[in-house]
Amino acid sequence: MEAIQTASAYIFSIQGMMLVVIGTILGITMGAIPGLTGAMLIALTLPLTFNMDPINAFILLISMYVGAISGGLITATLLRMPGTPASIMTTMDGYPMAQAGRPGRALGLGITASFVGGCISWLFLITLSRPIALYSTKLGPFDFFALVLLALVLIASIGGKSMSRAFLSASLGVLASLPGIDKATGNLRMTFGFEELNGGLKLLPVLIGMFAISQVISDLTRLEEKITIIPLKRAREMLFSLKDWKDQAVNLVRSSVIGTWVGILPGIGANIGSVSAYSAAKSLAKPEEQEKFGKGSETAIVASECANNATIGGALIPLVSLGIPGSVVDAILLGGLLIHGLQPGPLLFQQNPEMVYTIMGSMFVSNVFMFLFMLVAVKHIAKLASLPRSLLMPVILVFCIIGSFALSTRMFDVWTMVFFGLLGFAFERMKIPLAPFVIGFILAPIAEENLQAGLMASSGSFLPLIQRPISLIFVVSSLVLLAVPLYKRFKYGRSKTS
Amino acid sequence: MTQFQKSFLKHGCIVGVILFSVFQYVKLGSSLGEEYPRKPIRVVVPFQPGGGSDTFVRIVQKAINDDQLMPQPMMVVNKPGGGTSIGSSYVKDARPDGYTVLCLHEALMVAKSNGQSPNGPDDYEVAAATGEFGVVVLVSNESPYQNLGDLMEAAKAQPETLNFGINFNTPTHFSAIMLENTLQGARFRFVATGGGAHRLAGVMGGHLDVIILSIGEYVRFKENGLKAIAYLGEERLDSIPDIPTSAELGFPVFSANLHYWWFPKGTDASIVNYFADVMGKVMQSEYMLQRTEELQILPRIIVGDALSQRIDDRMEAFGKINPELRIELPDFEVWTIGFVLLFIVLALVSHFRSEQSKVDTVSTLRLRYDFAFGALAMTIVYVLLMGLGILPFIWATILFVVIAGLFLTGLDKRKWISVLEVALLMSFGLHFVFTQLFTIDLP
Repeated sequence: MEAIQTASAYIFSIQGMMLVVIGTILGITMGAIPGLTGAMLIALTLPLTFNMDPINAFILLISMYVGAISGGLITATLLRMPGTPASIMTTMDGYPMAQAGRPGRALGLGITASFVGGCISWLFLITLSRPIALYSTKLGPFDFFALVLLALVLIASIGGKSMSRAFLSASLGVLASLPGIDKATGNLRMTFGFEELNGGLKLLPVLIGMFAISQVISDLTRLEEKITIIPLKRAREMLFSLKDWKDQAVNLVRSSVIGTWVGILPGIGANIGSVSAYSAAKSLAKPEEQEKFGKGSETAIVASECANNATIGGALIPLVSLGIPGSVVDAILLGGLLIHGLQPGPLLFQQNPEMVYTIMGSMFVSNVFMFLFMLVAVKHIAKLASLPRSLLMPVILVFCIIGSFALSTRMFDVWTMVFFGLLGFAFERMKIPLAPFVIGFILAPIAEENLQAGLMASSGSFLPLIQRPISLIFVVSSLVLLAVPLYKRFKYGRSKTS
Repeated sequence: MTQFQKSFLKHGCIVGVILFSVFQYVKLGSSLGEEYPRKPIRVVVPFQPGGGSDTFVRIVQKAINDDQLMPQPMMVVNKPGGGTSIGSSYVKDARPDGYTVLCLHEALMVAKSNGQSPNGPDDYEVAAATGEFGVVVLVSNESPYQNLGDLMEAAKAQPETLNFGINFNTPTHFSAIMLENTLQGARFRFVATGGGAHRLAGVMGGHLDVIILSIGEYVRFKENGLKAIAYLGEERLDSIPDIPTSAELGFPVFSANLHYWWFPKGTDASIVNYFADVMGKVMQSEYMLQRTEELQILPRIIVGDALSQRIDDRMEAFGKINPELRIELPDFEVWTIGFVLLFIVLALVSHFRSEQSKVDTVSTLRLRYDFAFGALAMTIVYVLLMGLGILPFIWATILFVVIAGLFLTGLDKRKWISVLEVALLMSFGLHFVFTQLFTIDLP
């Protein structure tokens, strides 16, 4: 109770509200500009929060998260370019509707759906986190290891088009996490004689390189691309009518639940949530509505935008209750908790309850502010997409460099960032997805530490992995997730050749 | 407003911000004093912000800066990683002018004696050891061993069956081994579970039988069904008077830890003594006394001969301990490299199999690789300029933003004012934000 009061005192103070406003607006803006993503914004903001109070830092970061996922719908609708990957499905129906002369309606549907999706997933967040956290002290090291294994398989098998490339990406991420001190023995490994590598590769330079630098490089190659925006003259039609609420109620709840569930699954984030809800809405719609999908369906916009915002609350559940990130952005937030000296994991609820309630509270407040701000300012945000990118790019590069440098104030981290930027660009050229790399990089140390602890406690035996019911469930689910696509491909491959 | 007024207002605001930042920069250069310390003293903390050591140093910083115990302020620089060796190496190699000091507890000695770090007490001039924090041995309330004697006897009767949660190769691990050594034949099964929170979760969930925690952590979490069975210090503490010391029970282990202040080797003795005097005043300041009570730290300070004696004793005690790994663990490097190779092969196979059916999508957009790689090359030059110390942050940034901006706008004459504004804003503005507001050093 006391913690809730502390958290709300922080959030509802003038400073707290300022941070919500700044965070949400920056998030929406970055989300709306194609080529700048929420992950990039949050990774670049993290170094700026080193000297802030951890609670204030998280009010800011969570608001950015909410804003960034929401802002993407503006450009998806008016420009046919999703501002963030999370809004890809919105492009399919939002743009046709805007082209047909109803941009206000398309935006309004998306904004309200985002708000509702955020609220419903927030309810799941506040009700589910605590029971899961309480239960999770029963989870032993082997259970955590199996859970992380499941997360890695999940992102690789669902996240991309090619499973082998996704797994390659994930295993390279694991490889990148190895240099430095072996936690179990204290010995150095894979440092190749570089004293700078003793501490391993830092999360922030790797992330900034992978997401920001590689994005800047690919944006620069497309600098000559002409951008045309559908002008938004009338801002009426934006609010839901009573009839809309009635028509979309089922869709809203269903898409929110799908989004939340996809969010909870470790490692996969908003874009998958949005795709899943879109396909569910399509297959469950009436035939005449199904026809409209892809041509400006209202149901489709609502499903996509509702679900991508719902993944926020979902993905925060494993973050606050288990210390395992539900998406790439949550992985950065996890790093943020560590940087601020907080131990993510089952005990976060007891050690730093005020932080847990801050995360929950600021998600809700920021969601409300996002809704109001988007309704009022959507017209102006759309113009941002035409910002001179030739000026923006050097600025982002300077921020990337300072951001990597500030963590330990050493140049080595900057070089690391440049290297991973080139690697990320190479990945994109070779169609290797980036997300599994980052998830592998972040989860591997958690997996390794738990496996080592488990083996030490079992005197070197792997048997508990299949003897403990919970870890058995995770191991079996991982195997099923691996086997199903392989089996399908095998069958499909056979029928094609024969 | 007319177009002209609007643009005038916009540029006016930007120029104002730039002038403010430039003014701050100039002011910074002119504020040097006469005697030591002439400029701010930087304390290197080899941990991430927010941890126990960082919190302690920031309390010291606030005490010094608020009560003006030194004519110049103290700045905290975090250099985490490498099990403290990144930070300790940095200070060892710093100029011995008294403006760089390392604050690190006994991890420095532990890391030296187990070969994890090349830096030991002999590489520094130590000024003082401050703020003692003790540790306690904890079991669960439901544990069959409700006192230290029973626990040690059990560890002797059935060696290597009791799970002892530790952080490998750190002071917790060394204390646990010292405890083992107090009874002939007693052996625990050490489980490397990582930080305090993980150990706590382990003992609460029944995965660990016994752990070591700092007193601060224990006081905060004793409600969770935990029982402290011994305090590893010389005499009982006032804040936890009913917990016996391990020595009283016949298992003498002393593992109280302090924060030591290390100057680079060759720093003038007068500077080291001056700093030790300041620390003496700091430990008596009201703010320090109040905060140390909250955090369960003893506001103790050791200087001079007593300090060198203590360092010698501790190095000797640590030298006797061999923290070897007692079981065989799988080799993660080999496994990971194996998987990487496997997936490279799989990806290549699937790439060539799907190649035939793929139709190349023709894009009308001309991709400007010259922009991408030109900007990238400039970035690398920019980082080199700062990394090799040729140009400081401000000038390198102005140069980079101007050249890159002009390059990307295609030398458009109408844009050069905006480019210049952005360059000045980024260089002086960010310099102000980072060095003044966040106290983070820039190259």
